[in-house]
Amino acid sequence: MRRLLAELVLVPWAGVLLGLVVISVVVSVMSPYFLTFGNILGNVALYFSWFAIAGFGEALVMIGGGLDLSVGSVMGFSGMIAALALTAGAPLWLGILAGLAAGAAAGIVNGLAVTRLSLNPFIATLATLGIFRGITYGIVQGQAITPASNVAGTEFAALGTGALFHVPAPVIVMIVLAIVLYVTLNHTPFGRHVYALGGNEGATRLLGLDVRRLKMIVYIISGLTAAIGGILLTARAGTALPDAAEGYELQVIAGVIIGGVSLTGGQGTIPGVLIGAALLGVISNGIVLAGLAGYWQQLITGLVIAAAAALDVLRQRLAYLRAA
Amino acid sequence: MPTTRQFTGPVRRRTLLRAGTLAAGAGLLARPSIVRAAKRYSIAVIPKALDNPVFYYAHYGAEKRAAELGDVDVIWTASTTSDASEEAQVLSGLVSRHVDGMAVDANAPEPLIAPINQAVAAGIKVITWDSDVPQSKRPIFYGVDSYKMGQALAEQTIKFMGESGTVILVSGGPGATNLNARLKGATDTLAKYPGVKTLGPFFHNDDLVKAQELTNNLLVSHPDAGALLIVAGVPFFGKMSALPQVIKNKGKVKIISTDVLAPELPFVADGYVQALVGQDYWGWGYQSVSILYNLLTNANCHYPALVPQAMPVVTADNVKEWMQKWEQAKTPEGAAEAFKEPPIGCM
Repeated sequence: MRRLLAELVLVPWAGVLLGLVVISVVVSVMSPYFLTFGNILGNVALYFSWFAIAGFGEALVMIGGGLDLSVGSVMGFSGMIAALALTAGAPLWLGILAGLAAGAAAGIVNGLAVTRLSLNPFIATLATLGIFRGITYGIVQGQAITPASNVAGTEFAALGTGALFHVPAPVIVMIVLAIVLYVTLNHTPFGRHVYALGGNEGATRLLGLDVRRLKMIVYIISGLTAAIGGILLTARAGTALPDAAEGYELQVIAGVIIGGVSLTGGQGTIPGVLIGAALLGVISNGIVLAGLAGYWQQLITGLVIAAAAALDVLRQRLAYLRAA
Repeated sequence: MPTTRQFTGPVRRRTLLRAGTLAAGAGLLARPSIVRAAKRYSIAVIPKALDNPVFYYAHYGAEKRAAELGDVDVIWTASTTSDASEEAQVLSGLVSRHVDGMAVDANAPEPLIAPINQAVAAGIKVITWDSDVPQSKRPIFYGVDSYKMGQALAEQTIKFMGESGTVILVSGGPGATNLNARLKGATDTLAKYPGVKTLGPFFHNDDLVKAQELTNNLLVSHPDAGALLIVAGVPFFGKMSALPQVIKNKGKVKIISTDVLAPELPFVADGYVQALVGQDYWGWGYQSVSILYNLLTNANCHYPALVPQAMPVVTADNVKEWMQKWEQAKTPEGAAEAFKEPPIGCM
């Protein structure tokens, strides 16, 4: 038992997993409706799926030593572009492709601002947060876009509301992406280069790696994952609002950090990000199920973020002691 | 399906402009040329934000009244998001531009007191609509009394649920003055019934996806509740398929909500939502311009501090009629016909 615990502290996402288990137990004691198949998959997992998906790309950027504050705006922008394409008569695949292209383009802009203009990632993506949101408002003049109920529109809605063996489509996309990015990060040279980049940029350059290219790629991946999250969110809502996903970057980044990704780069895992997003999802669901008035939600969320972070610091110390 | 939310912006605007110019031309011709040939009045109408669909119809209404009057130019502007500090900047900008009149929908009262008083001091006629700034020097508020709207929501709740049961309260943001007044009106009314218990309020922060999530969650976790009383009707602005729990519930837990917009009506028609209490969206623009014009052109024109607005209620009994109205309102011209009402004169 001691041995197992000792091994567990070495797993980077063990702390946040423990937090998730504790919170889940508390919520299931408070409400009999929490631990039901329908609630866990149909409500909790569904509604944190786009935060997790955008979080995967964000995690890559942050592991590489950067930051992407524009994810919420890119989610809204990509969802809007997909809805506009479908409204203009595009088939489903073209609508999705248009949304993804919008996300990739946003990633390229972020990457160029960081690598070519040498802007600090915080400043660069703070600027593009405004730019992408502004474009979204501007192209539709503040109006909402609802894809018509034709073939493509119905297929699009099914992306958000459909399910396979009772697992909602966005949750399936989240799981597939988690696996793909986990493998990419842990079992490819590219993944190791991203960790190296965030760990020590100077040394990475001295090793002969193309640092600019690496940074471009992580920002493009972040743009793409934000786009996937945004398209799913729009499909679910059934309409693209220009203020969709406004402020979501904070929840995405909170989930990523709770999941153990270091703000200074070089550390973090995809399973951690998934668990971090799940933790925030359980809290928001739990408050409703427990019947607590909404006035307290932000307080509870804040306390849990602090507790999760403290738990992770404790785990790191234990791991350090054990290694020493 | 909520087709009125489809993207038809530029087309509508262009048609509107053309219709406006024609009507303005006709109006000028019909008027004795000596009276106001030189003077044109610029009236700014400022909604809380540019992205909320309820304001499209206020916009059409304002343009329609301007076209009818013939010597009014409407300036339709706002902060891009529902933010009072940003809105204060917009107002200060309009004072610098020296518009003749301003009709303001306040995101929050305090930050707007100074710019509204500044405008009044500069000789600009200012009224508020939808959401008031009571501490400012604006002489008139045109809108629904939010407290009364809360009472109406509670009355509909009692009508459908009966005089006992748990009522779950749902609102937008915890800081919105008008939503808090609606909540107060609702809870005060419900408190008169000893058998009624309230739970919440829960907040969706005016975010469509979060509102859908919250509604689903509440129905899953409180299947024995008597009613869901929603003082900000955002959950029903999207697609029905995003609310599987509402479909499953099918009227068991009664649902009473605000606004009488097109996307919400199918929920009433299919028996998922029992009653909607709304406002006169068209009037926000149409009547605000009417009132300001009267104040600008007639020194003897007076109004009470609250100019009350109609508060339509939609239930299964009249939902068909309202669906027809919104079908007709897809174009600005159709909206003018569907929501036609006489302009408010001096009182």
